[in-house]
Amino acid sequence: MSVLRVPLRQHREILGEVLGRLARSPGATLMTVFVLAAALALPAALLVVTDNLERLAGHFEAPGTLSVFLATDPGDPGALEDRLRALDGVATVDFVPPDQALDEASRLLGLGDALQGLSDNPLPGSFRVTLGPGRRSPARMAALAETIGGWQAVDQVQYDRRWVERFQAAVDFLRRTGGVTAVLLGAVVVLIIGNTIRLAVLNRRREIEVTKMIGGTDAFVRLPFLYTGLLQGLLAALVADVLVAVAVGVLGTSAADLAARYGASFALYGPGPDYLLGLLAVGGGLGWLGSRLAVGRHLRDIEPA
Amino acid sequence: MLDRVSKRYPQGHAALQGVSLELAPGSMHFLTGHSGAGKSTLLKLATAIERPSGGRVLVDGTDISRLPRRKIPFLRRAIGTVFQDHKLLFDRTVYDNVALALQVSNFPRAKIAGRVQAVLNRVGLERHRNKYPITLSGGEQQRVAIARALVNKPDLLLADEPTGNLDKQLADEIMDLFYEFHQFGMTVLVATHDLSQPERLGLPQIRLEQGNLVA
Repeated sequence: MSVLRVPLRQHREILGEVLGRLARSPGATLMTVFVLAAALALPAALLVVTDNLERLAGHFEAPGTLSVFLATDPGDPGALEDRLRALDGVATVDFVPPDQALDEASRLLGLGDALQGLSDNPLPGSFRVTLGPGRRSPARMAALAETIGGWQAVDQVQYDRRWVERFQAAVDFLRRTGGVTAVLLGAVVVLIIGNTIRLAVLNRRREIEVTKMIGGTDAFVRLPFLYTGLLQGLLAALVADVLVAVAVGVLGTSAADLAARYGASFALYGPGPDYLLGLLAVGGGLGWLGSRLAVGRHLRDIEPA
Repeated sequence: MLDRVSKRYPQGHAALQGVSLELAPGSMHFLTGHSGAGKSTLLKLATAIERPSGGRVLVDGTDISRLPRRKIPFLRRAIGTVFQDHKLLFDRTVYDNVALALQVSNFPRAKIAGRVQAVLNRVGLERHRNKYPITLSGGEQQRVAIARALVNKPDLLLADEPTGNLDKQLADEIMDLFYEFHQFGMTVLVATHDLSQPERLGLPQIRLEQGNLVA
């Protein structure tokens, strides 16, 4: 990294100079920073929304009943029942013997006594396992179904998961949209900073020429521009952090209100410190990248003549 | 030292054609000739602003014609350069213009102020330290440029038409300043079309005509 070839002391001096320069043209600086902040805040906010929706999915109460169908030769149903009861979160376990299942089936299908003619009952016995309230998240249901399904005496486990899957698919779609938006707007940030830096390089053409003429290295000439990009990116990320936090604060109240009307309690989950720091890192990184690309292209062309 | 150096610009114009010359350490020469004779080209070759098309350019025994790009800044720090249009930065003070040459070479910060003050005294600008170059006269601006060229204590000072925009009296003063540095042991090469200066100071001329050395 050529940046490391510049002594630390010069880094400090150049950083001070860049800060002074940004502060001396507050209008232009703020304009750039706010445009960048908007570009960063949009995908960042989408990320918060999808995170919250995913948490919401965890809150939903599924019907909470698993049907555990036994294999044709289940061994001792009593032992299996004890095993099911011992599982964490299980409230009740009811055994449905094959005869009862057959009765239910003929009633449901309206077949009357037609099935009585069967010499053998083709239906397996089953357990109806109900989970306690608060233990019915889709993730738990799925995990439990998988565990039980793996047991030897069990043929298959069924529960109503369609609506959970639909909801999850919707959240996934939103998340993908957020991802694509983030990539596009990230590119926008790089381009905006790149263009700002390009103009700054052209504005200070004479200074660059003179500095090179009296023995300034490429790294020395480049550094102020890199810091300008980095600082603008960081400032923009800071503003975006504030925008997202404020938006979450405002929406949080109405979300809680909405949830209360459905008799549920749900608080909008605000962005945590690592999220805010992550956004800063992304902003700073994109700023550095944008200015590096612009400076790399234009600085080489400016030589004393 | 130049060893059979030629320079051809992309448009096909041959600025220098096999020029060889050597400057003894501590000597002072005037580089004379008409406009377009190749004076500027010769000076640009010495600071690697231009690269020769043929031959070798040696500074302090090092062939700089093939010097890698990243080493060029260090060559330029060892050579002081003064131009006709002085190339000062108008958005900073006299002091900052001169100090820039020390800042780029990572000179210890605590010593910058003292060194800049000393060189400003040397060129007679101590009172103008906090002024902006635009408020100074042409002769004073050129002195700022000279101070900037000297502040790194180079062994070699190159000047390209340093008095081109100045009247006779100011020109004499500037040339006297160069002569003084030469007497302190610096190697000096001044390009000028003003033939009265070498005569006035009794110094040797290197004469270029259409890219060839004639004297």
